[in-house]
Amino acid sequence: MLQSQFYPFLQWLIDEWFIWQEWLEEAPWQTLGEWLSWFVFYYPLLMTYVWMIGGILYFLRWEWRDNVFAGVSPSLSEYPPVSILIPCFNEGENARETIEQLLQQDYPHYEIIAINDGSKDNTLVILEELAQQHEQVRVVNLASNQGKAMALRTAALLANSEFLVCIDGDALLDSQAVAWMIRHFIGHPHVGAVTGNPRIRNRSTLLGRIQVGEFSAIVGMIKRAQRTYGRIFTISGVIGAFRRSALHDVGYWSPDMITEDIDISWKLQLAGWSIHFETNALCWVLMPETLVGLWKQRSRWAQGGVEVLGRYFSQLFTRNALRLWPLYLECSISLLWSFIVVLLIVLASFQLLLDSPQETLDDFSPHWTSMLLCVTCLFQFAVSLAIDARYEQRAGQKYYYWMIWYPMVYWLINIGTAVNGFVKAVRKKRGQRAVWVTVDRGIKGQ
Amino acid sequence: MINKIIITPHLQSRQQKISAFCIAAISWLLWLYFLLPLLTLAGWLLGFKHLSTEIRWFGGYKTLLELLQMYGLIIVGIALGWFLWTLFTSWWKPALLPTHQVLVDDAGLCAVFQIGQEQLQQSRSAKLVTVGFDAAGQITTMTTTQASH
Repeated sequence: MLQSQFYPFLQWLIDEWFIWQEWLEEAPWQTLGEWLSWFVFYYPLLMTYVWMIGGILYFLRWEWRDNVFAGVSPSLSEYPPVSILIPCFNEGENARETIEQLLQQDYPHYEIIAINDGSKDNTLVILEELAQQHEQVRVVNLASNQGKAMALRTAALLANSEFLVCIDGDALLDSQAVAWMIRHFIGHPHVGAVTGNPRIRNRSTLLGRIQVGEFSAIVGMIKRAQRTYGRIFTISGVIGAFRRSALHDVGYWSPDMITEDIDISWKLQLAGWSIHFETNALCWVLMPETLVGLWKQRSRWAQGGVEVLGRYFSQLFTRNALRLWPLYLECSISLLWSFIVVLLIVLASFQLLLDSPQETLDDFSPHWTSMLLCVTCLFQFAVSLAIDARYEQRAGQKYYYWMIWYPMVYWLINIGTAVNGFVKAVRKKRGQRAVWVTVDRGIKGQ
Repeated sequence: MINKIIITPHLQSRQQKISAFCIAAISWLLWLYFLLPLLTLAGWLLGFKHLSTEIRWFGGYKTLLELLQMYGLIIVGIALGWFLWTLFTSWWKPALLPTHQVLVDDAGLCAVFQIGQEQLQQSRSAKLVTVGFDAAGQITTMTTTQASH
């Protein structure tokens, strides 16, 4: 009985196998491969022009026409009180420098709230000392470590002002930055947040120098283009200003999102609040200068992006969300692009080893298309560094030379971290509290 | 005076210096490799006609012109799209902007964070506030140390 059922089943399996084999052989692999190659090649090229033209329009619309320059505070019709929040976790080395720089703000009414999030080093002692020395400084001590989002939530509650400027515990805020950011809130009740312009402090290594160019050219250009479009993917976690009523409206920062800055940006915009970009709000930050440090940081950013894509998908079908669709699509396509690049690299490696090495090598030989990609890349760096030059004199000329490594080194790292971040985001348990991570802050040598 | 920019290359490890040198050398070679068609084209256009074999190998001059035409059209299309969108957002600004006017007050804050208004006022005027939380992240205690005003 059993045998009479088993043999027809076996026969069916064999038949199915042959049918599938035939289908696989007949599938248009050549065409599919070509399409994937075109996508891998042309997508970044297309996006380069999208960002570049958007960035140029931003420059023409706001930066150039308004004739604004860094180093001078804007004249405001009113100067509302501002609370500057600094969440600190094991910032014993940097907190003093950060707060002493903040005390030089060219703004009449501000308080500084330093939050010690259960640090294990001497952060609390330093903060208490600074609070005793300076009238503007207050300390909020979280009895146990709660994570950055919780630290910011608590400080937002205890702040005496409607406007909150949030910076990292190792960042140096430019003395005019608060005034430049606050100008966006005055007379613009729809503005929920303003993102600043982070600048890299540590430039001792190749990675440090590439990041100077990256933040000036790539990050700055994308933020400008997104502001021209009207929606911003993320406020910089290291420097952002918020309207407390807007934060209250959306339920403040989410403690379970690994990148609370991307999350709050989406929450605010989904609720209809606008986010502006202020290029004059300079904030000097420390970045990783080792490959391991950079890999961890970029993986965290990628994971944060994927978490946000997953969490807010269901909210995309509302009126306020319509303008976020292009950002959502761009982020999803970029992620898909990374996976396809990995797939093609693996396939090309196999082809090189097993199949036809000559054909594979031919694919990597220079042609007009690769030349145009390189020229576009160089042109983009030149345009963006020229636009950005007013914020840091001579940086454009100096770091243009280092930018040539960006496509080679950074694209590879970013592809890897995008895949790694995606896997981490998928594996993460929903509701799991995000915690501080030990970050590489480069070579300081003081 | 705080030094905002930190440049201390002498503090790099030997490994970092060697890696940076290798990456620099490889990257320059790759750039030269991919820009080879541009250099060849420049030479050919300047009159070095013996480069025509290479020009053909890279795809031919006619293909390049077709490619440039296609690129030009795409760039003009993107620029036009951006320009129209900018005009649209400038003209239709009032329709696109939300109308959030409600200012959150202390009562609203206390309701969300589940603390008393008096306690909030006391904490806001203190130099040091120690905040305790339960496992769910809810504030359980707020201890003030010294009044700032």
